Amino acid sequence: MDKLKNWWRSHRPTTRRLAQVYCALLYNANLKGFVEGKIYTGPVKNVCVPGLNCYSCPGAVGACPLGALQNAAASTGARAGTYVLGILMLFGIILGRTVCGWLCPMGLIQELLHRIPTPKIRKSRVTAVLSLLKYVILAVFVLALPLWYGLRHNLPLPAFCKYICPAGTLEGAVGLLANEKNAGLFSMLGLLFTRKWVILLVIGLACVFCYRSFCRFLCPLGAIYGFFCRFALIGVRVEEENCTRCGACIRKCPMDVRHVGDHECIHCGACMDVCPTGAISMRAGKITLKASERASGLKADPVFEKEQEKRTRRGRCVWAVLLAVLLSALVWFNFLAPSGTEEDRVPVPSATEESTAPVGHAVGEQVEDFTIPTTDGGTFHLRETRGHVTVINLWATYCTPCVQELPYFSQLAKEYPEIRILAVHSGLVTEDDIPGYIAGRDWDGIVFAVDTEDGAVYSRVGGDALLPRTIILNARGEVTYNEAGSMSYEKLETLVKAAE
Amino acid sequence: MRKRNVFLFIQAALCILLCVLLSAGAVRLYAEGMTQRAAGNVESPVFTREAVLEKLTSLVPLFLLALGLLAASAVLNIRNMSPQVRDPESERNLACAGIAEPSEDMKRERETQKKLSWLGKAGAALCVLPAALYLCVPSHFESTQLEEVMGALLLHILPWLAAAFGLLCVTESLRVKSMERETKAAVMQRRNASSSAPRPGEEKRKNLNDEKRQRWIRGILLLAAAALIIHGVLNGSMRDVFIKAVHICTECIGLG
Repeated sequence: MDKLKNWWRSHRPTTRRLAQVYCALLYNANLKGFVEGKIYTGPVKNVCVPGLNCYSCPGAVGACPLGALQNAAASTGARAGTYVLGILMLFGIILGRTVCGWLCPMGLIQELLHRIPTPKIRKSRVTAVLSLLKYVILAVFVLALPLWYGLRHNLPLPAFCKYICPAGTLEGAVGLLANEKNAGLFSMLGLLFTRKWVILLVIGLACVFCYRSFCRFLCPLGAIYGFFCRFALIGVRVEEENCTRCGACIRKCPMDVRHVGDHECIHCGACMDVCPTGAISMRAGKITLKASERASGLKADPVFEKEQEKRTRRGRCVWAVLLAVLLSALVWFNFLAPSGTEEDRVPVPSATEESTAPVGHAVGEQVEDFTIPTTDGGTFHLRETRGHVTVINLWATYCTPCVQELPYFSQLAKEYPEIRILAVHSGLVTEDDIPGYIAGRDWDGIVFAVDTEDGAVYSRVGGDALLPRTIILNARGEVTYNEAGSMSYEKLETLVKAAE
Repeated sequence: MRKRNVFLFIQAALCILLCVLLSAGAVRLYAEGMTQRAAGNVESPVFTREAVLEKLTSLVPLFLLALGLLAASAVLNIRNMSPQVRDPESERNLACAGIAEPSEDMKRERETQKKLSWLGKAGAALCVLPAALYLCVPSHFESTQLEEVMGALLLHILPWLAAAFGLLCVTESLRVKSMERETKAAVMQRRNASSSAPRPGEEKRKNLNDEKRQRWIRGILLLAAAALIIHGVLNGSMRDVFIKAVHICTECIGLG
């Protein structure tokens, strides 16, 4: 029994681990998303969460600050992304890199991987130098590339998300692919997925051997929060008058810190337990959240004991409130919140005359007729396209593959003038002047339209949260192809020929 | 102790093996899919759920073995060693604390460390310069063929970054060596001479001023953050965040 007690004492989760699990659950409270294989599209996604948590994860209820920052940089030409800057600044000033140590789901995953008992790579001068890499990634992939391509080419390019982010691959791509209902998504996987999958595995493996490898060397979000290390309200503080500069804190710290609380410190509080004078404590302004008990004689001090008791009571109250919040969030997102998914907006189908196929948007079904005003001032009637192969492309200005594949549709229109091509922009618009945006490009032969905000056309053709999507209808208006993912000209041509 | 190390190495080997197999599986599926496409079947998918599941199923025994070992390590209390490391800078600071008049050796080592630090920074800056210049030339980013642009970017930037990191690593190691020499010299001097304690009063005063300044800056930054958020809500950038969060760009999450 004693052995069991000792085992539990050495293995029980710490307060920090509980906080990490709590945040991972709270950020991904939409658990039904994993079952349905769909992402949450409700209004809470206006809000960025402090940690790195991909907003394409089926469970995610908030937006990823890093993804939002890249998209804000990419759309600077349209409007300044002051909201994201403000949010990041707010998190930085209040929490700083405490976010990394306590509130980041990616941090939790990395630490759990590091718990696998293997020989470990210790921190050294090499790892300290490598930790500068995240600033390069922040400058190039998060700021420079999205800004340049956004301003110069009007092409949204969240380069970090696209080429590096392991959270996107793990939570977004794998999270969606894991559901059987998304089996269709496998058809769009190719080089990009293979590369990102290998990157994810390499980062995961690195985390097993080297503590928080992604966080220390690659994560630009940590680099951003690191800028606020001197002004953050919450964090680990050293009482200079009690510090003997023995260096025990630095030796214990698994991060590449030069001193406690610097830009590499994630405020995990591991140093508090080894400080021989109890000079280190976790503080929020003047309030001490956690203090070291190691200072000689402190344990016996009645004032210290009283304070410690007060802190414990306060901690219990905070945990009770937090648990209530988590439970409410779980109940709300899984049982009460309107799903906001496209299915809810699908109107009652009505049969058309030409085809006997049932109305719907799956292959073999016929798309319900619709009329939509086009950007050139005309109107597009789906019924009028009967007798022609029709290609409907769902796109948005803020979607890189969407913008990149539209020239193929234009080329198709030139090669096959009898084909009708309609490109419907999502009803959610970030670019104020869509016709102006289109006019600046050589996309002849395509009829452009913008969907209504409730997604009238998207719901009829089976558009969901994934962009781009291509739907091909044969001469009778029956769907021959309907899948999300980017298109090459060759594939498009083959599909159109098959529809003919 | 030896048994424990064997256990750790087995775990490490298993982790590496699993990663290699998972990566190789994906690369192989991709290569097979591309071969099929090259054969003229443009429409055929590179990955299929069935093929992926088949690959994953073949790895299940290895996964189970890894999980079993993990459970065994938890039960047998086999854990990582504490990642304690030496910190030469702290050791140096501790040894030098209270020494009023540093010896010539100590002064010389300090100078060497300063020079090495500057040398490292300047060298790294010089190495990074060509990479920065590459980034500053607009013609390198004129093409919208992003794969080509990224390939060229990595080709031109990575070698310079690697050189900068290499140089920093070398100068840092030399600096550490110099620090160790300084620590030794300080210890020798402490043995020979009496030391005077630092004056904590001065430090405390300095800290108080620092805290006051920090509080001011924090307040100003908080106000600026609030103003930016309000401006963002009004100018529609909050809505942009929402739109991007509810519409997934398939490439951005690595789907394709």
